[in-house]
Amino acid sequence: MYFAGIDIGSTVTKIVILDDKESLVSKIIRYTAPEHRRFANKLMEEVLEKAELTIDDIEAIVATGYGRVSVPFADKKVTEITCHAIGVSCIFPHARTIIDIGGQDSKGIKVINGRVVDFVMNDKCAAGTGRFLDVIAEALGSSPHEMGEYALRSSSPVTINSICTVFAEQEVVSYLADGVLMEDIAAGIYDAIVARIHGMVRRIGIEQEIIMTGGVAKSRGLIKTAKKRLGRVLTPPEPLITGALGAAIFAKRLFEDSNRKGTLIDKSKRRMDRVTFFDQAAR
Amino acid sequence: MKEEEAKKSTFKVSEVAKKGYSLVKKYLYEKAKEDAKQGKPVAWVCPTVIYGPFHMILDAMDIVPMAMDHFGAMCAVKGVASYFLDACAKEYLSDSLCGYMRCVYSHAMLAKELGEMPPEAPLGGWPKPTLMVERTTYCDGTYKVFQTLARHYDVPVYHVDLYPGVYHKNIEEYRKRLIQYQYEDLKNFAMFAEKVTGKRIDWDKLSEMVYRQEEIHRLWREVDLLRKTVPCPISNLDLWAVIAPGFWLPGKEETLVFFQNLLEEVKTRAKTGLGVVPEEKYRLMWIELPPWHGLEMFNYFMSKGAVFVIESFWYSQFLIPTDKPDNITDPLLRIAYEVPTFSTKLISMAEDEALAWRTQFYLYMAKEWKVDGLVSHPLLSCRAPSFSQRHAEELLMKLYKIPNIRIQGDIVDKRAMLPFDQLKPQIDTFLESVAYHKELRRKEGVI
Amino acid sequence: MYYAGIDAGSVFTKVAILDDEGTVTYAIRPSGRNYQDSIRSALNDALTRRQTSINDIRIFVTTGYGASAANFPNKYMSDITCMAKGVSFLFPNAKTFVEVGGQVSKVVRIAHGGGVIKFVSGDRCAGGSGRFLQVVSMILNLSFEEMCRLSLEPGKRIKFSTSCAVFAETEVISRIAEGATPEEILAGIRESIANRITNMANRVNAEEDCVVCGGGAKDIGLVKMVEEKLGLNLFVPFEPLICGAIGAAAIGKEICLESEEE
Repeated sequence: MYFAGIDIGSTVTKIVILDDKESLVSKIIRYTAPEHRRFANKLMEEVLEKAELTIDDIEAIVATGYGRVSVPFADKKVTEITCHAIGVSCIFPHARTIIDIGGQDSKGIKVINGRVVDFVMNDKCAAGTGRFLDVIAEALGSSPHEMGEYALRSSSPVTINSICTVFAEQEVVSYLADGVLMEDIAAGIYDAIVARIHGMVRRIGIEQEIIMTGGVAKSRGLIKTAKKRLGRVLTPPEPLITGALGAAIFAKRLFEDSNRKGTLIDKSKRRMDRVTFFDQAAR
Repeated sequence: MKEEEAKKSTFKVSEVAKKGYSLVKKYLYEKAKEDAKQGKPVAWVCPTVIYGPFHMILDAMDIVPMAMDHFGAMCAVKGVASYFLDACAKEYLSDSLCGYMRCVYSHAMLAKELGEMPPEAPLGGWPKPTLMVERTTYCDGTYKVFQTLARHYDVPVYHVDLYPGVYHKNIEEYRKRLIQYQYEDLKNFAMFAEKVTGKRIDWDKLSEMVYRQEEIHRLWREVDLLRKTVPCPISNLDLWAVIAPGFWLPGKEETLVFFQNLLEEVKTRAKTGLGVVPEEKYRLMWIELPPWHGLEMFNYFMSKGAVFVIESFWYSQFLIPTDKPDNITDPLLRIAYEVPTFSTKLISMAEDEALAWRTQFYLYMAKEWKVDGLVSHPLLSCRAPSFSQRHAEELLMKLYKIPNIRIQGDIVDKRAMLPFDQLKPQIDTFLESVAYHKELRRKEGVI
Repeated sequence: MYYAGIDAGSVFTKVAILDDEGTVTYAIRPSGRNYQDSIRSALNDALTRRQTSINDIRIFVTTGYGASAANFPNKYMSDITCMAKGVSFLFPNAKTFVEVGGQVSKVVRIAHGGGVIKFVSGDRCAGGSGRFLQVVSMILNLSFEEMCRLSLEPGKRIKFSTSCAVFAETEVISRIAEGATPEEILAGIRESIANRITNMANRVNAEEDCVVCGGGAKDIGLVKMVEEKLGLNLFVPFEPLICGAIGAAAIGKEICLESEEE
């Protein structure tokens, strides 16, 4: 018996397939530009092929994330907040605060025993999201990953005064022109983003254990800066897939639930065809 | 900033006001803790009312009165408030709940966790209460927080119904009724405290304190009136430091001496023409409580030659009634005269607009203290007193051509205010606008 | 005799030279990285146009972000005060002005003669400033001038789900992929900025005559949109960028005349 979770984020799409013991069978992580969100079916086919399964082998499929509405083969759609909480709690049972920095949003989730107690979210402003780092990395002629490595070497980070990404980029360019060391600029940028996120997450109260997820959590520079401010910070081995993992676990529970009630999941409703914008509009 | 630091040394700080802090530290905290150790009952009081009636009544009963609002302000001044506010955020308390109360609340919670006062507590925190006193009007936050804390400590809480009054046509009749109501309530309060602690009021002591406090207020008022002098002899920072002994150590011998010295000092300065800054350019009015977390801001104002000469009416003392009949000897009745007379006096100044009485008062202050500009400070976590600000701003501009700036902020929460480097250009613009309007008024012959 | 006003803004450095008759000569240079250079070159340019020399300037009044770079004797005034003076110099009946600047937008109530009564200044967020238009014109591959000429007639407006300039960039790209025209996209962006400005204007009770200045005022489409949202007729100066510099020069003139009287 297999269960699938699909997490369509603003920047990256992730799919996880679990077996009935909740161990990982297959996963896929692929960049998706926003307009390519409708190709979820292609990715699903790919991951099924990898696992040598067909769609009918999957007992339940749960979709989550920003683009969950455009997954016609999902049996249920669940918010990413719930899925992150489940996924993270599966890896870290003592997790209390989850800080997820996504490509176009950032959120803080407070969990107790895998249940969401409270959350805050920013998707209005690029500051404090992965997008901020992308823009700055581009201005520095580097990549977010490289920038994280640079930041580790800095001893005197610069101060970034602007909150707005556009003006921060301008500031960074002028620091470069002044001949400031790349590592100091990078470290300054991480200080700025961590300060911004801390300001937001503080509203729900930060408690240990703190788990950081999302693509940005892969950056060692960011984790170092976050530790300076928050104390102990943990990251899962693959910080990108916690949402999809949570969705897959949710799928398993859904299946068990419907089994108990005797209402089986109707697999015939799943549609593996491409979604167009007109479909979305009609819905 | 360097320039300001250099100029700071030229600001005239009141030598007497400086000592107010040690007075408060000694009596409100150190002595209180000692007394509590010896088994005296402790009362938590918040918020403090002008004239400090509860502190005097409790003192006369040999109960140790604590000032919880002073403690909240201390947290902000010492720069530890955000630590306690964060702790409150964890308990899901709203950011718009009274900042003082949030500091007190999180102390109580942390003290429960740690088994003692958290080490960050300013002045070492406070002893546990035997009873609590709270006022039902204005401070919505206190009402609920004190209920919660009373449950937490399992002590009774008294809600004093200090009614500030509204606009009324027959103001004299109305005042009499308010005084009677106040008197009854104070008696109930005294009975309540007697019942809880088993102590009795020392009427002689209370009477002595009440008369002494009246004298203190007379001196305080004199100081406020002397600020009409150009150049202004004492800064707002000093006056705010004076609030502490004036409010929370009422009727004490030491407080009286403190105010006598203060008046002496200010008098000498006014006579010799010694101003707060070397060259006084603009006289400003401040509406509402100060941002206790960011008092450095006023050094910037002063470095530009701008001096705050008067603040919100309800903690400026010049309004305290002096026309109390001499034949009243019951100290409780003398106290009962204070608040209603204070508020009805304000109300009677408003000619026919029921809502405008607060505003009317700002107009009066602006004229009497020769104000050139208005800075209003809406408080995020203390909204009730902030409501008349916009009206005051508009009327002052319309009638006297006094420009204004609104600096969003809070008494305790630093995050409610813009960072100083972003505030600075706004203050610059405001002061230039003040200069322009001052010139304009001079040309038009208003001043 | 001449009076010079220098406004070193975040994007452009502007110099205005005022004479006793009230004639204005001006020069505009991109601020670049070095304010000292841009101030010098803009000043030289203005002096050449006026056919005069630096020695004939009685006073320099500076304002703006980079004013501290001026390395000659000058008097500094804050930008809002200067702009208010400049607006009132150009439009004596003006009661309100909106400045759509490169980093911050502001709405200011002014008295007759240019005194500042009340002002609201926005956050330093590209979404509420002229910078937003710049970002979008870059994606649309239009020069600023080309963009300003587009879509004066309000047609279909694309609703943007975000007011963040960075996120809007992505949204613009996907809307183009869906077949939206640049006119429709621009109308949506202008609406987003105009909404923010209207919010600020309501806080100071904006009244007619209302002037709009700053770089954003060059975009007539934006001005029309603000006009529609505010319900006020807006006046645009012949050169919206130089209000601050003219105001600075006018303040300089006043200072000189006053000291003469004394």
